[in-house]
Amino acid sequence: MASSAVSDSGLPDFRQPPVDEVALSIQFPPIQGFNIQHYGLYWQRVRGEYPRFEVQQPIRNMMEQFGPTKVGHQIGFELLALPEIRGWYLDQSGNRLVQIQRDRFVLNWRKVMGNETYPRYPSMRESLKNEWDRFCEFLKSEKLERPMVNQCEVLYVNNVEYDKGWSSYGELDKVVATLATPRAKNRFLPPPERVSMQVIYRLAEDAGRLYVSVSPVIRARDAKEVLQMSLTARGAPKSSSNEDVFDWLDLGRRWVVRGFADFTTPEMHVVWGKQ
Amino acid sequence: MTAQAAATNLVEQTPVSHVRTYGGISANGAIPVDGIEPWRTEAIQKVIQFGALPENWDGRGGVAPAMAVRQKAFEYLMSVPSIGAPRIVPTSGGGFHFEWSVGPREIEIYIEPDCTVEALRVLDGMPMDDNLSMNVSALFHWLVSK
Repeated sequence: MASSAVSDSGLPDFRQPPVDEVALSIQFPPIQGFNIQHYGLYWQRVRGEYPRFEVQQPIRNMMEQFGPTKVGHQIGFELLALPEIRGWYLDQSGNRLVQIQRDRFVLNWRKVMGNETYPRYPSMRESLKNEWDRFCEFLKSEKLERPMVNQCEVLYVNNVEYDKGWSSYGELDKVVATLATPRAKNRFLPPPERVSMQVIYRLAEDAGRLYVSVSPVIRARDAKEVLQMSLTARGAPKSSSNEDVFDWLDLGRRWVVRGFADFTTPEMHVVWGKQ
Repeated sequence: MTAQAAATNLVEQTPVSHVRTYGGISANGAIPVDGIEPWRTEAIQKVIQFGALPENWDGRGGVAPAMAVRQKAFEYLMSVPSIGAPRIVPTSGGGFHFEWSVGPREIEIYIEPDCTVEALRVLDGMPMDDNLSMNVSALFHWLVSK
């Protein structure tokens, strides 16, 4: 999950991690007065670095709650009168993009060609800090409120290719450590054709949750079917200050990286070049 | 049969997409295929592969279907009943042509470069010039009816 060089923080590190995408997200209540025109005005500021723009459907507001309420509570858009969009600001390569909607700010890095090297978390963190500061400056110049951050999110998407340490879903226990139990003989069912699963963990001191999703997908860039293992850590920072927001993102990243190492088998760690 | 050869029906798709993506903050566009029949998976893979066609792939200035067209094709493939794989060919202008046949009946679907979807019913090799707007389920109900 970390990248090709030495570990930056003592966390598990791989020379050839299966990571395909990383996203860092900051969520807040909808910014009052932030309208369609602001997407264009903001693009004017960042167009030198992000020359491509796409309109996407907005994504739902997600809140981790504890106690008697449900896991991963969703807040819908149904009661909002304004048309909602999500803007994608993409760099020329398409590897890096900033996503903005009225209640979210996200920085993504993703593979497009397939041979790119993940630019390590410290670099992503620094980029997000710069982009977030620039966005807040933009809001200030438009006389809009500074967002009050209510959730942070760290997503790592890993593509585990077939025939690299395992070959079929009957051998999923070679990938997922929690399935690594002795196989019973004389079972009625054959090996599964496909498997998907989601496992949810609480972060220590109810700081949020870690969602681990395992599912077969068709990869959009090459039509190859792979096992996609995505890890999402989400929770509330102590406050809306930059320090607390980035402290939480660091915490979420630690859970994602250590969770990935824990969730997967030592045999696959060898395949991915664990250092 | 080409899109221009006979009148086609504008297809009304269901308003809610059946294509599941990871959604959320991911931007990698991967398509989950758990719970999807193998023919649909293979059809989606073909659609993706046609996105990599080189310029002038047919010697007539053909262009590869754009991402938006491929996305429309995914949505269509996920919305049709499970009656098996269609024949899938790209069109020179950057669209797709899907074709299903059951006995003497055929449905030809054209996903145009502007993402509109048109359909043509064919019976015993003859196009049906009915010009009716039909939704997906009505089209496929006609295909499998006796």
